Amino acid sequence: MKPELIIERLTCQIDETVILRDLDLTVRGGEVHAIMGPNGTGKSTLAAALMGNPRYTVTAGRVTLDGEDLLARTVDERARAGLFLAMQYPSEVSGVTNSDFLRTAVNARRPEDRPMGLFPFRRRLAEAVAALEMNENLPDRYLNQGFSGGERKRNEILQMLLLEPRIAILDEIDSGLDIDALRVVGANLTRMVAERGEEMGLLLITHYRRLLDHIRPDYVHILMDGRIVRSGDMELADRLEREGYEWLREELGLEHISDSHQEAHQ
Amino acid sequence: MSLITETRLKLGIASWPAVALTGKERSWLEPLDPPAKPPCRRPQLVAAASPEPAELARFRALETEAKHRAPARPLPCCGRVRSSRLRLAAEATRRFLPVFITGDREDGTLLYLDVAPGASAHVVLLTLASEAPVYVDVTVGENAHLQLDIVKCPGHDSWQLLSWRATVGRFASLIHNSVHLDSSAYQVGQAVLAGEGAELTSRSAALVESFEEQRIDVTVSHSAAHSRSLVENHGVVQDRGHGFFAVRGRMPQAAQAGDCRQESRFLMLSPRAEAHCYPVLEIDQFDVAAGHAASVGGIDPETLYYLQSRGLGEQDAQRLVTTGFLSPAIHQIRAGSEGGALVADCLLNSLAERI
Repeated sequence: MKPELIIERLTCQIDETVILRDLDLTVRGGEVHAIMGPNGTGKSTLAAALMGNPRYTVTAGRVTLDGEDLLARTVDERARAGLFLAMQYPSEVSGVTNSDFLRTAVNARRPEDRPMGLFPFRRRLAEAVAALEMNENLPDRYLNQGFSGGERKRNEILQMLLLEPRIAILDEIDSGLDIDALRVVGANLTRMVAERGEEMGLLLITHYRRLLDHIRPDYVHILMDGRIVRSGDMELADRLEREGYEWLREELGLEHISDSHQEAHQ
Repeated sequence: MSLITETRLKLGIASWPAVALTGKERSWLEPLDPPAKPPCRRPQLVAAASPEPAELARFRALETEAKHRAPARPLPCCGRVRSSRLRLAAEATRRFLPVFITGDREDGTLLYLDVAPGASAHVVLLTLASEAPVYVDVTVGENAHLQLDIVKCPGHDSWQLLSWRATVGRFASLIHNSVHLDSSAYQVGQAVLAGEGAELTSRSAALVESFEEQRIDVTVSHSAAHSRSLVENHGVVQDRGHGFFAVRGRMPQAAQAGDCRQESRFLMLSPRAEAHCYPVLEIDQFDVAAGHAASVGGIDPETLYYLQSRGLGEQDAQRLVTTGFLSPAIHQIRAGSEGGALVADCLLNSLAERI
């Protein structure tokens, strides 16, 4: 079945500050969506709220994945239902090797009596490590510990390759990546989108158009002031790159709110 | 079957020769299975003179911190002690040598461990149901390499008292790991980096169960230039357990261009768990690098969220973080030698059962 993530009138806050207001968005299998927007408008909040980060409170709205209520589920249940979030700041876990962690994660979504064997797992892991041009010793290193910014981001994509999500959200996967790493990440994403076809929908959250040169979105949405204010295709991203957000603010009659003011809210 | 034989078989290390120090005797144990390894020269194991009380007193921790709560059972420096000397000669390859210390007896055990210049060895000291004090005096000769691991074999309730002292020579290195996964323990370690370029890496893993107490006290003295040390203690404390880490890095004038690092961390699994860290650096030389870190706290909620976002249930995520927290020392035992890997696997299994 083609996955379908439907977000309806989602309102979300952190502490007392409302960050998302009545946000609507639908992502289906086979589609690539990009969400762009100025700093502090709620892009990362959307990702965190969907995954179930305990720091964020959803106060109104509905989110379903394949018709099932997502918000009623715990973080791990959402993950096992097929949601994946590549995080902007992945945690370090000392003493837990990438290999042990990933094997536990892969087996968490398989029936208990049919875990993946050690050798098939190691083979798949080695393939993914090679595809992402990562260091061969990665499986035996501790999870994200001592990783450079770029290595962490690649490691998020590596997890995505192995966990085969139905809906994947990538939160600023391009920040902290150098040009070569961006190319490798882009190529892997493109290949995965092609291979999995309608089995996976992709939601990219990004500041910059440069990621979209590597993986072309079908839809581009602009998030401002906690809601999606404009949707279009790649041309919209091109226009933002040329002209910034000012024209849009004027068209919408939004006040210009400085980044620093908004950041303080976050 | 004797306790030692049983343990050698259980750990899967019966095809290596071993040393046994029991209440009655000191002995060299031949491999039980036909030896898988090519036979090699047996290290020298002899009796040594009984120590004077003054010598035993040197094994006591330097209680420099007034805030210390006195240990429930201090290290005795009198009483009968059986002394042995084990000499490891220079050999081309790294050797794995298990040393079993066992016996319900009143006499203490003192082991002198001499590693000849240029030698390379992996000695794993396994204590079994031994309540009497254990003293280990190590000398690592010039350019020699010793990995000395101290493992309290899990599954034997006993109050372990152990103190090791090590003198590390010029360009020699000592890697030390200690693992205590149950019962109470008081372990003192004192390393003197005596020669230029001497190195120490010391890691401890302590799982403190309910109503138990574990104290690890490590002192590193940099007595020569370009010496380096890293002390890393990790403890997990369960309900009403008490953990205690004190680490002292001493860098006198002679420690020029030295590097001294320490880290003590406790993961608390209950609000009624108790832990203390005493990180101390004594620096009397400008040209050194030194640092300390200490922390006592619960599992980071962000980490749990991250692991859960990959599909791990809350309990599995907690278990992974907790076992991982104690794993660095065990992983290093595994990296020490083929035999070390077998001991490490048993420890990891035993850890998984307890978390």
